[in-house]
Amino acid sequence: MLVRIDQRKRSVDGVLGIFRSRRGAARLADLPDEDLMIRYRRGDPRAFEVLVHRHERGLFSFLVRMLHDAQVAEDLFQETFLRVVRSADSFKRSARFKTWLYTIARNLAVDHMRRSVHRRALSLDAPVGHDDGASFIDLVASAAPGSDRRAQDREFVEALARALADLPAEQREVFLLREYEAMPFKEIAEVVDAPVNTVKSRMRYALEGLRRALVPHRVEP
Amino acid sequence: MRPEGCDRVRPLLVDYLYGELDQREAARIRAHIDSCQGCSRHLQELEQTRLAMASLPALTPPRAAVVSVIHAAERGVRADRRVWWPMAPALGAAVAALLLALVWGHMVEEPGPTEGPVSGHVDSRARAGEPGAVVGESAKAKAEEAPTDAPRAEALEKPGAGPSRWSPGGVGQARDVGGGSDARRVVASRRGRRVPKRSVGARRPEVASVGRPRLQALEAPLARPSASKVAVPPMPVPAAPETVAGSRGEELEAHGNASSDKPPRSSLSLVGADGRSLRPEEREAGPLPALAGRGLPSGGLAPMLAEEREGAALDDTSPRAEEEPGLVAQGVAAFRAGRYQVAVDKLTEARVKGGVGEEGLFHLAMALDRLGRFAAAVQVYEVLVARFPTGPRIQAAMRSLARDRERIGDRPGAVRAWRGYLDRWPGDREAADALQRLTDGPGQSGGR
Repeated sequence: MLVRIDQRKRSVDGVLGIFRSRRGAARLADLPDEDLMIRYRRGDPRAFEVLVHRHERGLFSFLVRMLHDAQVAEDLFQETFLRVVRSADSFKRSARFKTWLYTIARNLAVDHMRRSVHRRALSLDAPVGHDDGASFIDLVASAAPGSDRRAQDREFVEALARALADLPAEQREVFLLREYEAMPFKEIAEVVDAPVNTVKSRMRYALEGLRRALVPHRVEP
Repeated sequence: MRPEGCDRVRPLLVDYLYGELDQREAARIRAHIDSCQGCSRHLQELEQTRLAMASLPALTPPRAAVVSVIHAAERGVRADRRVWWPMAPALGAAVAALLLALVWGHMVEEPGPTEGPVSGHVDSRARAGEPGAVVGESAKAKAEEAPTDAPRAEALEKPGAGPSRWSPGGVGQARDVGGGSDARRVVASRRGRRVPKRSVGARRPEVASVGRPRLQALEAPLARPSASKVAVPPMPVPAAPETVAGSRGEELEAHGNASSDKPPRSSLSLVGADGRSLRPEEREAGPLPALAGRGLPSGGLAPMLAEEREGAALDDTSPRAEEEPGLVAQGVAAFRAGRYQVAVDKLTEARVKGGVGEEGLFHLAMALDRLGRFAAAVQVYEVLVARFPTGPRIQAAMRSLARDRERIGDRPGAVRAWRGYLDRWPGDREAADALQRLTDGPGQSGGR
């Protein structure tokens, strides 16, 4: 009898535990990055998990498009978050987490590009490091949303990716941060360590460069 | 022919496109666009380019990479929580001994009909709660354990003396303390055998490996000694690229923050600030700053510092090793923290004392830039370009040099600088436009 009561109590506790944890997860998902980081610093690893899931696609896309190498991008993706973990104690509530995260990632990417001698010779059709030998274009095209007719067009995606890859790195990073991460120019200036006006100039040159690059491909922008 | 105002409107079209103008300014731009076909078409093209590029989908990282960083974060939290665990055995032994002493004291005062382990005989040390009192085998074992473990616990907390709170050794030991290896540890203590530090780390529980071996290698940085923990760039300072994120930059900071405890050069050149061995390409990045060979100028520091602050170029165009790594690191750190004047002071002092390398000069010039002292920045950039014509900073330095020449109104100098830049990087559109503007356009070289 006592055993039965104990088992029933345990199952109720289990259900309550799941409910509580789900409710907690929902609350965490509503919190801004900075609060999550503070919670993580205080010892809540779930907060960091939410942070990672929130930024994983954006950060990985940024790194892949900066480096044209999914393997390296994957390594730097992990390295970026590991650095965040290591320096979590120095995080301040007044700072913007996303700016910090992308500053670390961008600096890692820039370091890598400086070290790699053959980066300009990388072909978009070359294998990107995945085991299946997929190219950068394959990677981009395979991730295209099914609802978008143009994005399904391999040639179109290829033209876009090539145009982006042909931009100078300093224009490309600004464009990626503004266009895909919706980062204000002021924050981009912090990330790339350049004056705001310079960032805006680079954005303008990037847009104009992309426009010029897309015209010969008969891709109507 | 463009209507009046196009030249002023065009640079703002990007801000307009991304909604970064205030309402009044946006209305002004809108009014111009409505009346100017050229600007209207230009804006439309930019918008269409944006729309086209938005078709590029976001990419998803491999699951293993995500799981790896989440596990690393969890381990970081556990390490933090268990920082007190290494001291637990000593504390437990002390508390147990105290309790037993109290109980024994009570029993001696009121002797019952029972069960004392040594009835009628109580070691006086037991009353005082001292280890070694004859109070029973279990308590004796714990009491013996205390003096052996206490120094170990201290050693674990000492930076550089052993694994820290972030180290796998610390974490591993903490886990073992509560686990089945406790008995083994007690036996080792009884034999008087000193537990080597490495064995603490060796008993680290295996972490479930995810993905490729490379992922495991990336987990290793969590095992950094606490001495290098200070080397993590402070939050939230946006910093120059290869010095914040790069391993060499961390090493520089480690020098700066722990100047009194500089590790030997040989170990630094092979081991990164995060405790892991440097990869071949990192080793190739160059030697670390020399730690010796400092010397003061015969004329004293003050005149030279003053001269530098006025922006006069010092005659240090001969390539020299960076001889003041501590000061350089402090200057770079100050720059990253936005304390530009401190950065200028530190880097100038380093430069005067023994010379600075490319990093130091570059940050000095950038700090002068931030302070609006463009003339001084020009001087430093020139030295930098002359001394390190093939260094990794050369492109940024030449670009900044050209810009600063424009800012101080040195139009011929700016033209020369941009031409020199374009000779090396001919495809740079921004530079080409700047040169075009200077050579063809109206005088726009008089500052920002």
